[in-house]
Amino acid sequence: MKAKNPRHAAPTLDPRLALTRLRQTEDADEISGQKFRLATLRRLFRYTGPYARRRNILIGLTILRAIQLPSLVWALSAVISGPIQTGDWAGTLKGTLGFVALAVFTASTFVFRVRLALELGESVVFDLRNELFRHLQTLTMRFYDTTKFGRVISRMTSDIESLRTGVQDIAFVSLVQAGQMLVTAVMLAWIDWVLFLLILATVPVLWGINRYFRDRLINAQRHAQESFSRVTATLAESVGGIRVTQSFVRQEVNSGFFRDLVRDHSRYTMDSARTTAVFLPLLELNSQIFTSIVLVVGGYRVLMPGSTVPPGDVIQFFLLANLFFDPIRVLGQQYTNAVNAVVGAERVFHLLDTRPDWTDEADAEALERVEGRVEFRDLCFGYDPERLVLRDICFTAEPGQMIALVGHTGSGKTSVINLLGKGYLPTSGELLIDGQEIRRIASPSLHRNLAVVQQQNFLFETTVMENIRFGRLEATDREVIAAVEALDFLDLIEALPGGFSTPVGEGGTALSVGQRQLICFARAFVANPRLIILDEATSAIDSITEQRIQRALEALLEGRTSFVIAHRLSTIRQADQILVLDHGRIIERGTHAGLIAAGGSYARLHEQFMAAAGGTV
Amino acid sequence: MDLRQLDIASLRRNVGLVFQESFLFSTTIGANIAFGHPFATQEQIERAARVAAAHQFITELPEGYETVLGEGGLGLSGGQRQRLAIARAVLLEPAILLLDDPTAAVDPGTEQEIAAAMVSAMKNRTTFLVAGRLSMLRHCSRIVALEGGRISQTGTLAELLAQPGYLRELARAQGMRGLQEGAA
Repeated sequence: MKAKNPRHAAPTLDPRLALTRLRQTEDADEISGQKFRLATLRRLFRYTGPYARRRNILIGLTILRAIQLPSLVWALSAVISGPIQTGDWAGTLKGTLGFVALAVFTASTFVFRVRLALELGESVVFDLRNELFRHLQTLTMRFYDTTKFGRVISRMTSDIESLRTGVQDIAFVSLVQAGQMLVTAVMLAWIDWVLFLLILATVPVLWGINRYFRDRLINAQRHAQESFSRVTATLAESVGGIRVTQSFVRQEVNSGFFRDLVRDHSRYTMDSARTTAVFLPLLELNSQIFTSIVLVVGGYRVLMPGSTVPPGDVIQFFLLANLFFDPIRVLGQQYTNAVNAVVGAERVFHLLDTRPDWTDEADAEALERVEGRVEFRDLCFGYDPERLVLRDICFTAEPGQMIALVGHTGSGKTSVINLLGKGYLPTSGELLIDGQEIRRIASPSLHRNLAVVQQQNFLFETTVMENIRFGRLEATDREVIAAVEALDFLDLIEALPGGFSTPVGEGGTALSVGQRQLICFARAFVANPRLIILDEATSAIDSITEQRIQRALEALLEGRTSFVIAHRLSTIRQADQILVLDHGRIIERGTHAGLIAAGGSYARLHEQFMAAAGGTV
Repeated sequence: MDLRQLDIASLRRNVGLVFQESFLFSTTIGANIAFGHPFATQEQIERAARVAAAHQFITELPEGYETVLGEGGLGLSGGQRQRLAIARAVLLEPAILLLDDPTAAVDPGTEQEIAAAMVSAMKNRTTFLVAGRLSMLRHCSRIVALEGGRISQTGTLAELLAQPGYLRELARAQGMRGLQEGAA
């Protein structure tokens, strides 16, 4: 039957057609199963510590509310079974007045109960977000090498949101509901303990139904979520790769695959909808059946010969009984929320507990007045210590010298500069700056004396002025302009539509590659560092801009110790020392002229380059 | 036949395209190479990879052709990415190959890696190569220099270097003065 239903037919997702990995297992690896861990909940509640007063008032209000709600119904039913039944008009009015007073009191405390809970949730979320961001900034490059962007984003957004529910609702709502159930139970037993035992027997049945459907719902929702993440990931890839898709005529194939993905997702959504569709009516029917039972038994107890039970008691019983049953449903819902909150909290805590793979040593000292002498001593390094990417690196850069790093992709050039910036620590051997070992240098003092110009010319989405100032936040506008003047491209900035206040980046004016590079140079210049690391951009730039960049580069490197991954012959030629790297080793070193004369690997590289660039045959 | 009258899908099926910076999907290397022909056999995929000088580095990866690329997956170097893009284009066995300056964003060393792949991919195919650098031009039968949307020069590399004009300027800007004179 089910197989015939097209909405139920499981589409087979062909991995050959996928634009992304189909199994999103990363998060599952992180958190094993959706278990309810009390320790996590406890840790979460520790975050309410700074707001203890507010939290304690809230707990008080919660308990109060658990008493108020049944009391309201009690008061109502007491008026019905008391003065109304006995025909006492004055008593009825008095009773009603009491009821209204109680209702006003209940409502006014409810205002605070809601407000305080939301405030408490927001305060915890506020603290956690700040802590998380601060923590993210302390993590080393190794973390960012291996962590998906989106995962960090979802910790900060959806996971923190589900945790918020945990803080502001679950405990307090559950407390109200459980308290209400308890208080009501006492009242019910007081009124008619026989009827009370009868309804007590139905509690396990209701709870069972609840659990069964909740579990199914959770399951369906999790699948829906997972399948939806496939949909969004595929959509992102499709948009990013649209040019490839169109030129390889894969529109039809991709649309077909996307349809299967969406169908897969709908299936789980439908499943969850269908479960809900059965669940709610079943709950309703259940309470009607229970009502009928109480009606029959209660009626019999009133009507049976020699009965002392007044009909008012049955009415009172009915009114209160709802207060006894409602919490079962609500508590079930809260249980689901609690599971989600715990999972969210665990993910957030997992990230918070991720320690940087190294930190500055306790006795690390700040670098004072840097000369700029850099020495690599028998240095070996591997991102994975088992697989070294640099071996026995030995060289010295005297203050003010320019070192050019040359070699094929994967030869280790980037690793050398990564180590210099203390993005990673050497696996063995030493790296000394002014004679001080890098492990024992306080990172902030190193970074203040070191500027890095990356190949990708990363700029923030703000103005040209602010981007340059990023090199040294306390630099004045005048200093920023002076930097641009020193690098001799003031005319280029002034020619921009908004001059220095022109926004860069996606929303702003698109700057050319050359302009972006010059801005990065100025950013480094403003920092006035003793050491400069430059990963020269490889993009082809028109020859005029090229010459200006060369000039700016010379001004930037002037008098500083610099390490350059050079892609331009003109840059390489200026180096005081060229290091030729191959498979993680320095195979040649010397000046341009010296290396050419030596006729080794560099000379061959140079020859190849020249031949490729200009030779005809 | 006029281009406007051609069915765009059938045209594109016969043109293999490689861009300046190649977009690779966050899926396996095999699936990326087989992008234009998802049901290609492993044999076809490997043949294309060999033509693009990519087979060796792929097999050196722990998971070979099953290696997943992209965020959270493996990062490849510029040269490796471009060779995969060339393999992707070659797999279609296109009659026409369109290479839009595939070495624009890489360093000279990597350029060599890609160049080798390009030369073998160009074999027996009509190839249009867009190049901002001179290095690839010697493999071309004919060079068309464009300036401000107009053709300013056409000819072989030797012919163009021998005459004053855009190409010679370009050679000089790229620091090849000596060689250019030698070639002339």
